[in-house]
Amino acid sequence: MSGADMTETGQSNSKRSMFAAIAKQYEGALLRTARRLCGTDRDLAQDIVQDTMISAYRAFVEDRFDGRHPGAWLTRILTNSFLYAKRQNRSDSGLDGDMIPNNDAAQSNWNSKIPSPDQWILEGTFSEPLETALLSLPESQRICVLLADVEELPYAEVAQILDIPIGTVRSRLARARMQMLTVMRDLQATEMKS
Amino acid sequence: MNFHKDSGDSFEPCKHMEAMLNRAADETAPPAMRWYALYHAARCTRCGNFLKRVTALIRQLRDMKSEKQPVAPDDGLSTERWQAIESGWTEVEKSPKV
Repeated sequence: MSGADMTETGQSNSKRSMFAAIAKQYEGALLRTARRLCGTDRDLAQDIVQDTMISAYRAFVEDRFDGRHPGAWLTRILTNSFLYAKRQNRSDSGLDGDMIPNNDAAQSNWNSKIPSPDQWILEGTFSEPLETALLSLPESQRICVLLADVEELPYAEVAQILDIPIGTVRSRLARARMQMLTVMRDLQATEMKS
Repeated sequence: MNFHKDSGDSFEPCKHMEAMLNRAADETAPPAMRWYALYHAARCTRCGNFLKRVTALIRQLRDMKSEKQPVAPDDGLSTERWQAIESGWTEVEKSPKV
């Protein structure tokens, strides 16, 4: 092995150990965000975290990470991995679409897609009304909420990631928040009755 | 201007106010819009209830931020996944830089 090769290998090992430390630090956080994106499809959540770790390492090796806000940077890559996976038809959560129910029949259909709180507890992942409300959202709205409200990315950045106008981000957020408030109120009412 | 004066906890806001109340709640409203939203919400029961609830909801969502939460013992990738990731990293190192 030549001196140049040894230097390159040394740099590569150093970058790898630096990135491995970041990856380990954000492993749990990324997996939780992925589960929120994917709903009950745990395999897809693991798949997209794996894709994220590899894509992010490629960017890291190519010096495309500026060293600031690794959590937000990884979340952006995670979202893109999720959207890519969806485009590849790797997931069918059954909650797709951007339609909000506006009549009783639609409401009933929509309610039937929300797992009961007991189901979430049995799933062992989501037990809070807030998580249940989040997972009741159509995917397009859930992504907006996760990026804008949970991860606190600016609207302009959310619009850029999702390739939609900023006005659409705002309207999706408004509809999503209203639906979440309604779901949480209904859950609370059910709990009080029981 | 009409203000709802319902008693109870209905939180369906006036249609023309919903977007402004959302922006007041998540702090993206310009000052004049924020003032108008708060002025209206202070006088309209439903919009007041909506603003209170949506503000609390956004606060709860921000607290969900993954980085702020502790990592549970089982909240990680399997050993097999890590092995696949390590293989992926090795492939990245072998591939020519773009």
